[in-house]
Amino acid sequence: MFKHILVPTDGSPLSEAAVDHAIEFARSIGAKVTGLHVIPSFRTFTYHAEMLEDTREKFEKDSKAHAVQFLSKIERAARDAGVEYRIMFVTNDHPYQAIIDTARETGCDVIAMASHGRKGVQGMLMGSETQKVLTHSEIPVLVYR
Amino acid sequence: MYRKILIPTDGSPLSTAAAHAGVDLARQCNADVVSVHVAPPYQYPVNVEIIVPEYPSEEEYQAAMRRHGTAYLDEVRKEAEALGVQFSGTMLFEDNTAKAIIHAATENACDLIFIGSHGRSGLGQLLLGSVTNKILSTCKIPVLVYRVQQEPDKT
Repeated sequence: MFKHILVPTDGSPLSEAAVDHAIEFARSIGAKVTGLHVIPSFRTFTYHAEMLEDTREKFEKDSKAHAVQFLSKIERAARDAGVEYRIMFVTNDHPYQAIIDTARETGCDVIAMASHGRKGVQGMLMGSETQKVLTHSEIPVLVYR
Repeated sequence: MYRKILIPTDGSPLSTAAAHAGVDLARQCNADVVSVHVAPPYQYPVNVEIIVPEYPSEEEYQAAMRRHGTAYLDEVRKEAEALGVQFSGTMLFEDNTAKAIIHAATENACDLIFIGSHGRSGLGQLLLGSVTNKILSTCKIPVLVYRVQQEPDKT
């Protein structure tokens, strides 16, 4: 039924736990995975402390280094499990939009993600990006608690 | 990976469409299916001044709800039998549908809840169906939300 799982990560511990589950799920059903990390666009006016002090070049370089670091975990997990994979990062101010667009473009048939990410359980009920993905996605979403 | 999948159904076309997809996933995972239908418990007519003579007794109400529930569960059972998936169905009387579903998942040691994005109240709600939303915010096991694009034809 599912052949291609999109696994978005923001590098948070909750998100990485979900990655492990998703890879295990992919292995058990013989599906391939696409790992995705979304980088926010550079802004001069921002609430991201690190973005205020950075130049555009430095911010982009740091973001890419983070993306590679987060995605390499997916890469390693997928390789260890013998799951076919690819990894990618995109730049978008709205992670949920990038997640849904990437799922469509790469032909994924399910999105597997954690209920909460970087902001933790401060969004008491559901993480905000997960909630938005659930609202706007046209394909099934597997939510790890 | 998933050994036992809980598939709640409220008998609506949207829910049945999602349930069929859930059975298909169970086949792919080689998992068993536990399907559950939750109905509201009998309401005693305590807050009405005149009890109409047609007001059903508790037995009549439960028998009628069981009849409906069994029909809804049979829709899922048929699909499971067609795909060769091990099936069991339960009917529960409980006011809080989301709580009953999560309880059923725990009772039956299910490791995944497979639920449609919308059910009986239809696609009118912009975000997610209310029961699905409550399950997502309170349960401890993974939940797969199956998006139903449009109301299936009622044939």
